[in-house]
Amino acid sequence: MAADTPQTDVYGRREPTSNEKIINTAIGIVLIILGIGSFAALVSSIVGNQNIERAIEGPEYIGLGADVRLVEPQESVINAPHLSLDIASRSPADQAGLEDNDALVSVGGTDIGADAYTVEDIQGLFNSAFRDAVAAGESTIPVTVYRDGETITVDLPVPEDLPADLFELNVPLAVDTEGELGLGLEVQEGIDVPEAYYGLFPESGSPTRAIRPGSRIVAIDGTEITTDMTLEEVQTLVRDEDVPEEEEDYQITLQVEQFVNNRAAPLERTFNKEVAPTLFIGFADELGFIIPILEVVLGIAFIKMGYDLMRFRIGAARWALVAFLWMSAGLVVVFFGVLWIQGKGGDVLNDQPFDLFEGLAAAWFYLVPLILFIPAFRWLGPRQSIIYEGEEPLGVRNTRFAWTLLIPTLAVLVVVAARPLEQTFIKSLTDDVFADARPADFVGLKNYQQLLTFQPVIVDCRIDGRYMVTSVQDESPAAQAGFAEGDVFLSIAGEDVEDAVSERSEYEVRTNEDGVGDEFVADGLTDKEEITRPFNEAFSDLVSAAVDEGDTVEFEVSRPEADGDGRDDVDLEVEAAAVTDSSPGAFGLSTEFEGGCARAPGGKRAIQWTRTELEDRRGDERYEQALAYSLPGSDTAGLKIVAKDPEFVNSVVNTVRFTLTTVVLELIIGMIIALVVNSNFAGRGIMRAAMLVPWSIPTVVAATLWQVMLRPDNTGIINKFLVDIGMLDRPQQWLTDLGPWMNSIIAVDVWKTSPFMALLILAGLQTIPGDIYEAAAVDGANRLRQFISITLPLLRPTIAVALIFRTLDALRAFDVFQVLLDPTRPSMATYNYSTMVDGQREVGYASAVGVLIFIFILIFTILYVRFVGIETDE
Amino acid sequence: MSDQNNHNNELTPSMEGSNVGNNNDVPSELKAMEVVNKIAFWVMVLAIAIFTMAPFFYAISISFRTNTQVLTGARYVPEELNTINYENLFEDRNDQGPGGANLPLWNSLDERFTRILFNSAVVAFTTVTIALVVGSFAAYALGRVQFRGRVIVLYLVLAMTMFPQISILSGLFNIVNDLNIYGSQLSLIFSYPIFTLPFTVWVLTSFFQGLPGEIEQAALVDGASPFQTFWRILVPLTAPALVTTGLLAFIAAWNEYLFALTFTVINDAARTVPVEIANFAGFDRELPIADRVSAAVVVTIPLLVLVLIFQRRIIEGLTAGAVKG
Repeated sequence: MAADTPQTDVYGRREPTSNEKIINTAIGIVLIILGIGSFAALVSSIVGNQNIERAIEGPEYIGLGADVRLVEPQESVINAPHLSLDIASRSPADQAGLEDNDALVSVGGTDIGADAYTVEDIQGLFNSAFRDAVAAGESTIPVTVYRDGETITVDLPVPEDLPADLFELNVPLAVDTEGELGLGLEVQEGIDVPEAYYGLFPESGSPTRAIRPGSRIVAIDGTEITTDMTLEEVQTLVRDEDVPEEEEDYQITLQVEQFVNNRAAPLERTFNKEVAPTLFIGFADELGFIIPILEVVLGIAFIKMGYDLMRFRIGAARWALVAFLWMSAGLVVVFFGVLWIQGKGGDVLNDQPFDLFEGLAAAWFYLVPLILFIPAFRWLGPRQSIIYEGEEPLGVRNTRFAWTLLIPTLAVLVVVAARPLEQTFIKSLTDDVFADARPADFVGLKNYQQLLTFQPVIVDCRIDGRYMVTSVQDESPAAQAGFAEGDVFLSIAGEDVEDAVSERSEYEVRTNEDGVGDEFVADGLTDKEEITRPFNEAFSDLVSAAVDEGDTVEFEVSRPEADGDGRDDVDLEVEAAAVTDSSPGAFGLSTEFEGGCARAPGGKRAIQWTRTELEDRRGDERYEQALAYSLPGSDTAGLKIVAKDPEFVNSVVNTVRFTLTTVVLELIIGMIIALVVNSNFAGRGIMRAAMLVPWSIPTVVAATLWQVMLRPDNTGIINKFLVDIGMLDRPQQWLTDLGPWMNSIIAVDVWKTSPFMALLILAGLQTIPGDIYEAAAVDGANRLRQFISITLPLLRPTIAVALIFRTLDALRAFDVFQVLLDPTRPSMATYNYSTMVDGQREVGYASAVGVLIFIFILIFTILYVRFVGIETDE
Repeated sequence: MSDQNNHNNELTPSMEGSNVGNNNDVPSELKAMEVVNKIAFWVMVLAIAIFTMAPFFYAISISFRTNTQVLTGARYVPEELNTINYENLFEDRNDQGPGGANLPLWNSLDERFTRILFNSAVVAFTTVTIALVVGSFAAYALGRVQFRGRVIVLYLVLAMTMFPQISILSGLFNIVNDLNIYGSQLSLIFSYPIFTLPFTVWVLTSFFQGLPGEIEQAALVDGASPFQTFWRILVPLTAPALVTTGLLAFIAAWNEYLFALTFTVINDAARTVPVEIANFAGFDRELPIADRVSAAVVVTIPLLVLVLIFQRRIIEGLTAGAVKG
């Protein structure tokens, strides 16, 4: 068949012409080059990466990154610390090759002697050197400096516009003295050091580079440095090579004396030892895995595409079309981005106006590939079904069409979200701490283990409590009666202490003589006072009643056996006449509630009182109590949940409670609002705008507004309103932990986000065809029936999506908790925030919290998709 | 158009006489029922209005009182119409004293205020446009095309937004920094798709799924390409969903705080509304609640106007007429 007389078959296919073969091969090669380019990008990102390089080759600087020498007073380099230079950038001095902290040795051939130590002297030296140079017809003066252990001489050019009378010559040393451009060097004075000392000479670019060379080392890590030590000893300390295996000592504390402005200025600074990360962490931190894998996959895909295209496979031709389309679109986006950024001079914060040419100069490069891509696209398009071979089933075509549409979204996903999300995952497996010298280490699932270890414990609070005497005042009625430390009250004046206290308390208080250890305090009790006050009242009442009625006051106490672990019941008595004041204090007793059990009214919840300080969760394997509940059906038994990180368990419980309640309420209220504003009535448009008001107010502001509205006294409008209409007797503490704080923040959130639900459901309602209702009405279905059997099922996908996004937001709830509550009642997100920002900046640990939130949301999403029903599978 | 809406009246059986069947020969007891229903409906409307608007009206009431007044006593209506807060918002009070605390929130109507509103509007508008265009492509693929990996893609898209913002902040910051857009509005436009895009994709997917399949088939039979079917037929049909999603995403972007705070902290000129309001230190030493609330009232008004304009579109473009039966 001749190439220039192509014949088509019944499907319109024909053999490619020889020209087409050449062009096709060219396009194939372009694709293969792109594929190789993808691999090249991966390789260059690995090779050029400093962090990975350090992981392989070790740290750049060892210890303080400085040299040590013994500086003798008579040594010629003694000047080094004494007269050092401060060089302005781009000044003549800078251009001549002088650097900051160079120590001045000589100017114009004149050595700087011991008596030339003032700035004025140096100025004079420079002036005379310039005069001599002009007289001798030279255009430069030699300046010798001491730098990094070497003596360097540079040629400083003589300024051009010197005065005619050379004796008036005075070239300012500093830049811009009274408008004149000086040499750009500033001389800093030092002092004379009478004795030899060990001087520190930092390497350029090292952590200690800011320290003046030749400064006297006073101490390193607390070890004083004296000239008695050998140079090797000092060097060992400076290098501090024993890079720690364990977590301590990643830092070196250095004390030096710098010689500035004629005196020795002491300086103490702590430097981080440079420690290379492990290769895994270095790689994961810098590159991650998603992007390298994508680069490999794309590389292979492009190479294969190019190869198949050259073999005239139709699939390759069609994928190549997709690739050219989106690569061109992507390049255009990149072009405009670069145009904008470079047009602003590479710094978007720059105030300079947008410069189109500067932008174009930097961005045009990104349009170059379009010269290839667009013609290739246009060439392939009409020929795809003509010269390429093969049949594609509908499924394959559908899949390609779908991926074509998905590419922009996936591209945004990869560019914006992939790295941050991946980093959160990776960090959660490390013990990284923000701004810490110690490099992050891979710890596996330790963070998760720490967060998720908890166990329920059933406790019986009947065995726990007692009112115990902690001290007895000498010569008081109590001492007279024979009270002793450790006595536990059983009865006072014949009245049972437990009953007497419970009568006087809002809480039911149980005591027991054998009490040890745990203590229960009712829900919301933060102050032991709430438990001791009723006892003190009972004591006063009973004692004063006994004094009024009889000659003696009788007590029954339980006292520890003198020899042995048991306890004895002891009866005590005191003369009524001896009691002048019936308060326990005046009676001469201090008592404390030791353990015991108190129940909130209604018996719903009890919280253990814990006296143990929370210790560092890393160092401590102990369990701390997170939550406690009283068990239903029992007066005394309680369920206690102990955990390694009680705050986290607490935050999970808070968040889940918050989420379940808000989402259900918002769904109901949103549905009602949507149904109402979906009806036809006058003012519907206004209502639709009005219903969005809560959603439109910035959350941070709305939370502040509610904070004012929910103020605990009469200055809060909610309290004022509810008292005014008689629903409350006295102002309620809405947000403190004594009040219904959870319900309060739920109410705030429901108010704020119901409109979101309503608007989504409203849009869902709009897509339900009206005919269905007509048909149903004709069939005699009433409104409720129509709602249940038509509206709800058709709304299911909308409701599922609305629920997913509301739950997602509720599980990440931050603002309401952060603004309205204190950190003792965290949500998962505020707990995450406080571990990350407020606390010990444990990035690894906080990331694990983030990942757990992610998993929670995923579980909820899958449940919704399963049970509320959005079709994910066809 | 309004005819179709009437069919959706769940709560107002009697609002429209011609709604369902006819009530020409309805007995008088039923007419009494209608009156009761009507009253109940309006009570419901009133309740919703109070639920949503009462705190806003209280905010307006606060905005006419001084900080001290707000913090010392609650009142339903202000003592007097004191416009000091609004004056503070717009007046140049640079000369009031040293330190940032005495700076006005917005120097003048034509400078700072418009600048901040402009920033928020540009960021939110661009973000939403990108999300709607890019997201509707993806949603069409996910909602109407059967292909392998569909479920995985749906979850992948959602996974973008499942982390708490604080967790991904540092990673995002690194990217923004590398791209040289730290401190500019561009950094916000760049990062906001992380929460607007998954939302638009999922909502639109569910709406595309709800469309009857006949529409597409008809279009394909008529010789339209898949892309034409999508662009010319399906997108107009889902206009209510597009407008709704756009509005919700717009407000979410408008109100976003943490990213905006972090990425514009070095550049006042790029700040958005919530950051500006929340960072406002006030003129007194007290919590500047009155100042902030009046600022919030002022910036909520443009949003309400926007909603009023777009709410009509939510109702239009229904599928009801497009496919019968």
